[in-house]
Amino acid sequence: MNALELNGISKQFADRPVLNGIDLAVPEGSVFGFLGANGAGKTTTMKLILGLIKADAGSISVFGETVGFGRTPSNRLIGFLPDVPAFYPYLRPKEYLRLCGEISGMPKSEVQARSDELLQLVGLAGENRRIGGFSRGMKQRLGIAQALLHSPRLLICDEPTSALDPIGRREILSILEKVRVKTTVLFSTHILSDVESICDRIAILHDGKILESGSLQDIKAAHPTNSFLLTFQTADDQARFLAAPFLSGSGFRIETPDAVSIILHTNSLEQAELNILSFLQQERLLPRKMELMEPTLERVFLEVVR
Amino acid sequence: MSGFFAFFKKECVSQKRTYKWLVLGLVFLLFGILNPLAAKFLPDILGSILPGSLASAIPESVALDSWQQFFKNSTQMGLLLLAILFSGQMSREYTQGTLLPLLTRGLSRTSVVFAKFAAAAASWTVAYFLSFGVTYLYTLYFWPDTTFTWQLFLSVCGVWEFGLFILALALLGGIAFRNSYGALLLTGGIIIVLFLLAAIPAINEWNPVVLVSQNLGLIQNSVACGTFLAAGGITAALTLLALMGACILFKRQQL
Repeated sequence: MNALELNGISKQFADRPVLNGIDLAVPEGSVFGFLGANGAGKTTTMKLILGLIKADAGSISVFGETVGFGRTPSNRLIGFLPDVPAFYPYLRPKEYLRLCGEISGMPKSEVQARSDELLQLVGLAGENRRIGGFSRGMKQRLGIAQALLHSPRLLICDEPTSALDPIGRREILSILEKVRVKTTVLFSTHILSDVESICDRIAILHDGKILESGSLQDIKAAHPTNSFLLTFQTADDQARFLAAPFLSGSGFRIETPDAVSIILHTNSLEQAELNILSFLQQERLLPRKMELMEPTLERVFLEVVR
Repeated sequence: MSGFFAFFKKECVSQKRTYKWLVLGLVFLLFGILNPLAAKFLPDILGSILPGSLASAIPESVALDSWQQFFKNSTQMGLLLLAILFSGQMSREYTQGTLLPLLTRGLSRTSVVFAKFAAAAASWTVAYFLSFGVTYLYTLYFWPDTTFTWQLFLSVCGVWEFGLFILALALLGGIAFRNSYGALLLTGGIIIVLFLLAAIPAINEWNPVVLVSQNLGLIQNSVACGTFLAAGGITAALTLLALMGACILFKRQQL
């Protein structure tokens, strides 16, 4: 079953189209990375899913329940973490979670138990300061706690790591990894390494359209790389290889990321392989490593949106 | 309803921790103390400053002077303070985005409007009647023959009702313009229009400003009780209308 389905969703603000008939399916149990550059329409899509803004066309359903502007009973199934979670600065973490729990109609004892459990999960268990004194990372972690309070089946996170330092980012990703066991996660971002580290499925949004959608592995496989990585024993070996006559042809682009490595981008994978192997044999050069490079998500993304 | 009560409690905590209660309470307590004191001692102070012939022309103070001070302070400084304190309560929610996580978990927008109004109304009620209580006790102390009449009660309730009207307007303005300046502008603009309309005798007795301009007249029986009740009815209807307008507008807004 799909946790979330968007069919033909369009939205424009004034005369500026933001989404142009997008279709999206997020299978239950997945960690779904929703990629797009800044201003691509990721936040707009999330607000549409939450019924906070009105779609011009199309339909949205969450676990089979239709979502409409202002009519959002489906939100009981969703936990939402905004990009910059805003809290009432004069409340303490537990008071804020109690407020959220009461609004969700949860019994008092359950709110208490879940608050303790979630504050423990996000590393704010002993924190009794007012939220106004929290760092950005702490607010983000509290945001996850509030989003998970009512045990939602779908967690929607809008760029949860974009404003955090590396430590804060790692903490948030590790929390999301923990919650994926019970909860489907839709996670928008433009930080591709975050997606590669926790997502199993992705969609790429560009110019108001979904250009790619599917499992991360399938999408990478559909965009094979034509690049070899060679790592030599010494810088001298690297220099000898760089002098190879076949490299002077127009079919190669060369990168030297460090003193002993070479990345060769080629138009013809098979011909390049033959040339490289015969040159290595001829020159009696033994590289420490030679591999066909895996396509990175960054490369796939750039190729797709180009 | 659980959403309304939860958000109402949050609003009360907000008013306490952002010192709105303290400011409102202290200012109105001060009014309560100063009203009878000013009425009692101002003639003596003026008498000691002015030359003898003028000083002897100053009349002896009476309990009505204390109520005059009470209505003057409450309807001028008091209502202005109320409008300023509560004009920003929606704009902060818009600019900081604090409502989003609550609305997405099922808090109805109607609950937000009514909870904010109810919490502000509760603060206004406590502060205003604290001021009234202190004024009444001191007036009774300085002028022991003071009696509590139903005209006085009606007059006091009129100002209170007008305060609720201002709170509803500030809420409507805050939602319509999404900032505190808009809230103040709408509130001030409507009050000015109402004062201008007071110049038209045919509709004067239906004008809400009767509630804050004819208070002493009602106590002295120079203004009919019916006039006050009619203005009170219109004010209640306008307050309700402003709140309903705020709800409708808020429901239509894309956040």
